[in-house]
Amino acid sequence: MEAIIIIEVSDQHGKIVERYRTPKLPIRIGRAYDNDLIVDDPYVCPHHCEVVLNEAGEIVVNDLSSVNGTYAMADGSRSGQFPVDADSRLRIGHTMLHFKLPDQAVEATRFDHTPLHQKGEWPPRLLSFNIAVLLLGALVMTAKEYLGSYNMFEYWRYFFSQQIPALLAVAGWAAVWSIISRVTAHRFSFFRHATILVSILLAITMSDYLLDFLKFGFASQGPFEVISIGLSMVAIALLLFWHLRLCSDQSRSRLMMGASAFAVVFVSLVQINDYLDSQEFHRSPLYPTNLKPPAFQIVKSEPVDDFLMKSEQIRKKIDQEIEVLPTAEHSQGVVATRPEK
Amino acid sequence: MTTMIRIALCVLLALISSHAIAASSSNSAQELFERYRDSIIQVQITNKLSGERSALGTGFYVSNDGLVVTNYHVVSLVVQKPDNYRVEIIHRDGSKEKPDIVNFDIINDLALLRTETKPVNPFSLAIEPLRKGARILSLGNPNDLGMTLVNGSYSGNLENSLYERIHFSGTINQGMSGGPAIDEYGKVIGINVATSGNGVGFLVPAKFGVQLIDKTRHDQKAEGVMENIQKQLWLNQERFMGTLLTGEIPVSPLGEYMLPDRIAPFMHCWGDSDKDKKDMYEVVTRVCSSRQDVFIDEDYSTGQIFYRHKYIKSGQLNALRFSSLYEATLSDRLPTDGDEEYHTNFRCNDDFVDNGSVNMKISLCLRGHKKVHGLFDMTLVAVSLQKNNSGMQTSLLLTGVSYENAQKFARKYLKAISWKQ
Repeated sequence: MEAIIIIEVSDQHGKIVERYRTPKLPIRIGRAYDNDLIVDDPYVCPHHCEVVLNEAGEIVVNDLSSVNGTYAMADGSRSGQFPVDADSRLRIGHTMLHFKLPDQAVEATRFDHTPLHQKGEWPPRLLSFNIAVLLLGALVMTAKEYLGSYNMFEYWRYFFSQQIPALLAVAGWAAVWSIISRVTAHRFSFFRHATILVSILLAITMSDYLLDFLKFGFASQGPFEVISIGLSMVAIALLLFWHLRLCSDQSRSRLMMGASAFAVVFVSLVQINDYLDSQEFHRSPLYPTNLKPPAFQIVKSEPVDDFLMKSEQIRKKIDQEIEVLPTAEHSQGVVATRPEK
Repeated sequence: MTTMIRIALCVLLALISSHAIAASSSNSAQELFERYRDSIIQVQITNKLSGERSALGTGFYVSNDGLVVTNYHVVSLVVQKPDNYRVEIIHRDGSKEKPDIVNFDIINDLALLRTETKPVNPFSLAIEPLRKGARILSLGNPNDLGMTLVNGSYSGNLENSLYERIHFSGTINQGMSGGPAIDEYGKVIGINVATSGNGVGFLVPAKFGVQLIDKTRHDQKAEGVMENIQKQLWLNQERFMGTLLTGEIPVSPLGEYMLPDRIAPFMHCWGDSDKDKKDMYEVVTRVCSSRQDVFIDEDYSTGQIFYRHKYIKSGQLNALRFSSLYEATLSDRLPTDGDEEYHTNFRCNDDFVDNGSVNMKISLCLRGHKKVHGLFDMTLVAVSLQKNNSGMQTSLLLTGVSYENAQKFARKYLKAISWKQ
């Protein structure tokens, strides 16, 4: 029987601190410097235990009357002697010993889904491209502000009061993700994280702006609201997916599934909240107020009478709503017109 | 220092003037007060749960068999929420009595109570109008300070008012509501109802009191509260919508558009314009309102009409920026009060409409009255889409009307709008 074994030594957090390959058996384990395997753990005795080959050719761990004892990880039992085979785990002091045999199979090689130079990855690793996206974001934001304003447009005032805070917010967001990806995947990628956020914001801003024109042009909200909800789900899913890809080596499909699930749940919750709010009582009518230049009218205008005819539908709905109400008539008692005696 | 002098001076002037009035009329006023003071009572509304009073007003006897007239708004809490409130009257000697609320007229804000007490000198109600300038005395219990009489003069019926009221040049304070205003012979000319401050008071003409008493004595049929309110609100809207739907809607220019002006005598219109040197646009506004409405409950007033036009023009903004301005000027709300207990939510239709002269985007919204079946509130918002850098926006609110009347009026209103070109 091959007497060579490998001992993985890990600390109390499970982090492997050493892999020790025995040249021969027996070996002694402990804190003292005359041991074969020196364990740096104050709860381990100078001579804590030994690993030997017994007469039957089995590998056995003997406790050397240690203060804190030797335990099996599997059931927590303390013993003076443990037979050891592949994948046995013992605990001495605060240290874990994981026994491996040289011929033991290891996990298949994991495929790297985010190699450093993959074509078509988003966002590209090109710094100049990332900066271009950020500038485009700033430009679109300014254009939107300019078109939405109807007084003197003072760019510098706008720059300091809105654009700088927006820039700081983007930087903050990118910094948080950069730190996460640094810890989990050893990539800082600050500009790429910033590009992800800005590109998504750009897409949302422009699609909302376009949808506003369609809502106005067709004098219709519903269908475009649905499109808008769909787009925001996609946007949130992509945002999360791209950030996570820089933070994790998990497969694309798993990340996409996770991100999509989050987006669907998030957008649904917001929609449910909006729906419940719309069911609340409002003093004022909630009619659409978005207006565009006359040229963007798409459907034809109708005559006054045709338009007014459509109120009949509203009236029916209101009547139905009132009919189902409990009749709250408090006619009995004090307040009634009474006949004169 | 100067302020103190001014205040002192005011007090002095007030003293002099009240002396002057008291001197010229003390005899008859004193006599009248002596004769009728047992026929004036205080009306007190008490919350049943807290045991504390919630409202105070005045009332007065109008018949030997114990009928008392007061304002509907004084007893409205008891009418609307009889489980939570009770009404009591307090006689001059401090004794209390629990009256029945026999009938009410919400349009004219009157209520009729019946008590067991038989008064010696009940008031009588005058139907004939007085001459303008005639002296009248208003009686009541202002701010719970005890019975008081206030000198004033009769200034005739309010001109151009949706609901008929007498203009009383004298001070009516809180708590005097429901008290009588009498002429020099002691006849009740009107019932104290409201004030707009600074010695401008309003009285309900006594004839409505007479009508309410007659109606109550002759009606043999017992009726539910809401049924009664429904009937009154329905007749009221038929009356004022009748006026609104008769004849052509008068229009006057606002910018490049001809827009509804003062549709009925009871409408009151104001104009305003807004242009700063810094602004790149100008807005001209016209607002018309009936000002009055019918009070039913703190959360439920109805029977009013309001409209607002805006003409917006800019020489400097491009089409897209102008449309942003156009959105912003549309954001002014209409004065739609309301409460979940009494109103449904608004439901809206919106579309492009061409009335033959102006191409518009219109939103029409309706909501129903939950407790008064068949009455609706309507808002109509129309925005012209004629030019890239100018346009008109008009918003209309009509409350407490039948669906048919709302439709007819919306049609008439929309067809009255035109473009001057």
